Parts: sequence; C-alpha cells; structure tokens
Amino acid sequence: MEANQSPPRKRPRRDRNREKASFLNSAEAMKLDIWSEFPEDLFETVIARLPVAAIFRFRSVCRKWCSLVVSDNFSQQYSEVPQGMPWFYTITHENGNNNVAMYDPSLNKWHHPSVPLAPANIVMPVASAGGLVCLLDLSHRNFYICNPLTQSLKEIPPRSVQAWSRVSVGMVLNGRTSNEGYKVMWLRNDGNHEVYDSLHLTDHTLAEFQGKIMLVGLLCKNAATCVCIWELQKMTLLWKEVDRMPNIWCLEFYGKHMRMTCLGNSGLLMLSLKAKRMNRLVMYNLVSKEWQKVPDCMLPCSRKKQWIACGTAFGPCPSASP
Amino acid sequence: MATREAGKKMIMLKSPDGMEFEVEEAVAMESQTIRKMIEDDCADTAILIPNINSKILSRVIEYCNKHVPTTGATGAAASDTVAPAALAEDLKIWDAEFIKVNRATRFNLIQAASYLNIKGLLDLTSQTTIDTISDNSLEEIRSFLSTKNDYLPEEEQTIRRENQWAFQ
Repeated sequence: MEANQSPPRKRPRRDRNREKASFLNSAEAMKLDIWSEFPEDLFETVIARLPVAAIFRFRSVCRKWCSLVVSDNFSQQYSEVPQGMPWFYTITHENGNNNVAMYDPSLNKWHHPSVPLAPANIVMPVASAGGLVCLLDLSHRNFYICNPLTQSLKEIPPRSVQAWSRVSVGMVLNGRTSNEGYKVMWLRNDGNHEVYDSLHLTDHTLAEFQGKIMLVGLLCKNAATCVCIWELQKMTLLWKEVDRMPNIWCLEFYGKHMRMTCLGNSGLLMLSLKAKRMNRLVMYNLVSKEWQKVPDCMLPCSRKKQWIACGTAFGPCPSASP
Repeated sequence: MATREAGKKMIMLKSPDGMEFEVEEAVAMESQTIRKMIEDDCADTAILIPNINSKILSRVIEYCNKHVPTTGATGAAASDTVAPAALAEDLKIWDAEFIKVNRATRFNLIQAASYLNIKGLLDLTSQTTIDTISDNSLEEIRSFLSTKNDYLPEEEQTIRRENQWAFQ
C-alpha cells in the first residue's frame, strides 16, 4: 500500500563513500531525508535503542545529547527496551596497572575504559548488578562500585575485619534498577559475612538463583583436553553432561597443559583458556548452547594478547549510578 | 459492542477523520492504552483514538491482528501444530515486510505505537530508525538534527576523553 511512494531507505554505498569535499551537500540532503518530521517527544524512546557504545559516542554531539543520557526519561525508556546479552568486564594487571577490557558480545568487540583509581591501587572485578560492577582491592578489604560505561566510581565502607582473608563477594539490587539501591555481601570460608546496603544497613537478603545450576570444567584424558558443561539434576543431585566444546577446537589443546578461568553468569559464560604459548577466549551461551570464539584482547597501545584471569558479566546501563 | 462470532467480543475504534474499525477485543488489547480503557470500563461503545489518522490506524490494527497470541479452541490447535520457533521466524519475516514503509509513515507509526503503548511495534519502528543512524559520525548527526556543537573546546575534549572507550 506504500509501494508507490516509498523512497529507497538505504543510500547506495557509492553515496556514502563520497569524498569529504562533497560531504556537506550530501549531508544537507540527508538531513531532510532522515530526520524531518521526527516526533521530538519520542527522541529518548528511539535513542534508548541505539547500541550502547553509540549512545556514548553521541554524548559528544551537543550538550542536550550529553544530558539526555543521564535524564530520568531516558533511563525509564532504556529500562523498557529488551536488553541484549550481558557484557564482560575484565581487568588485567600488566605493568602494575589496572588495564580494563570490556567485551560486548553483540558487536563482538572489546572496549577499553579506564578506572578512576590511582594506578597503584590494584583492583579486581568480583560481582555486578544493575549495570554496576563491584571492585575489590588486593587487600580484600576495600570495595569500590563503578559504572564501567560512565566510569563513575564510589568507594563503600571497607570490611570491618582487619586481618587478611580471602572472601567471596555477591551483589544484588534492592529493586528493579540501581536507583533503588543495592547490596554488597562478602562471605569468608569460615561463614563470617557482612552486608553493605547502599540505602540502609538493615536486612540481610541474598539473590535467589533461579533455574539451573551448571558446572563448567576441563576434562583431561590421556593427552586430550576438552571443555564440558554439566547440569545439576534436581531430583538426583547428580551432574549430567549437557554439552561439550566442538571437537575441532579441542584438538588445539592436545598435549598441552591447559588452565581455564570462567567468567560470567546470566546465561552467558566467557572461558579464558591458557597454556604455554597459547591464549584462547571462548564464549558459551547456556540458553542456545552455542560456542563462539572471542577475538583476542589487546590493550590499545600494545600488541600483546592479554590473559583474562578475572572479570564479571554485567548488564550495561548508562544511567546506573554508584 | 457487536458480536461477530460467538465468544468473540468486538470493539469499535474510531479515528479522528471519522473512519471506524471493528476489531476483536483481544486484538485491540494488544495496545496497553486500550486495554486499560476496557478494563476500567471506559469503553462501552466506540473508542476514539485521537491524533492517529485512519491510514496509520489501519496499519496498527494490521500489526495487532498479526501479533495477537492465538488462543481459544481453534487457536490452541494451531499453536500445537506449529513450532514456536517457526512461528517466531514467520513473524520476523512478516515484520520486516510490514516496516517497509516511507519515513513519514514510520515516524507516524512510532507516535501511534507510543501513544497506544504497543511495545512490539515501538521496538520494531524505533529499531528500524536507529539502524539508519547508529553508524553515522558526530558531524553527520549534528547536521541531520541541525544541531550546533555547543561545547567549548576544552569541554568537548573532556567529554570526548570520558567517552573515549566508545570510539575505539
């Protein structure tokens, strides 16, 4: 019914590749072409659906766009858009620095934001919730909460325990978004624990794990190594193998002494596999049972492949504030 | 309210240019705005849909008709025989065809989807719009919007530095 009046929606490639000299003219034409009649009150609604990195690129357009990303209307709109896959936030510590690498699975791309901390203050990402990542320093005492996208950071009160001890850290939201506050909980292997609540320091709740419990492991037989996924059977409490990395990828590991670290949750895992002179990143989707190779992670100013040893998955959220 | 088939309640939707559309209640309730009107009993006879002309309204109804979940005796039988994945794939192809409209119509559909609160349609129309801009440079965006770069040079540097990761 629109066929006779529908203009071509995509400009031919030769137009887009024109020399810079003729750019202004073509841009003038495109201005009329694309944005005339755009309903201004629906700006946030549409912009909230841009890829996350594009949202942050466009903050540089003008003041209006910059403040738009942190506006209440925008965060409302953003929270209603179906969110894609979680991202991964990792830190490597080459040369005594916090080198951040953030992986966006939907665009298959690494980003390198910085952490607003003194370089000597070495931290590790340990948990995440609502677009915020919890960082813990080497003393296992001081916690920082950070939105990796805006790079805003807040230090929360340190553990009251003085002596060094290894802790596991969990993080949950009080409500649907970080605006309603969050809790950070640490647990020591002797059962000691503390809960920090960003809004009030009262009740002790833990996030419920819904659904399945999975186990990822390296299976070594003779010289062959394979990555396997097991699922805990609720009736029998036995582990059942449900998937295995494609054979062709496992062949690479033959005869090598492999080590593996596994990051993430929310249905998406990143596996970092390392052996002598070998460094591979693989992603596994628990829902679709798909294996995918992740490009090597290199810092912007170096060609050296980073070995990802610590990190967490997080749902990118421009308006999350620590 | 009229009854076309036994057990299927019909709703009359009116556009401001005087056209009337008789649709099944279930189809109309794809719109959260209309659903609320019906549930609050504000919709005894016909519902006037302001700001949405008959041309756009008919497209919206077309969309809702396609996307309404199949229920009832015949519906259940249909969804038993068709796999959900195949059904979703079919919808995707249908959506891609549906959104092949000119820009002005698409913008009108965004407005209608927002006013009537039809999430799927809003996602579809918005996504199609942003697909056209997500790869553009800042200069291009500025010129589309007739927006001037109103940053002071040092401000722009700061904001650029803060968001540097997104440019790499």
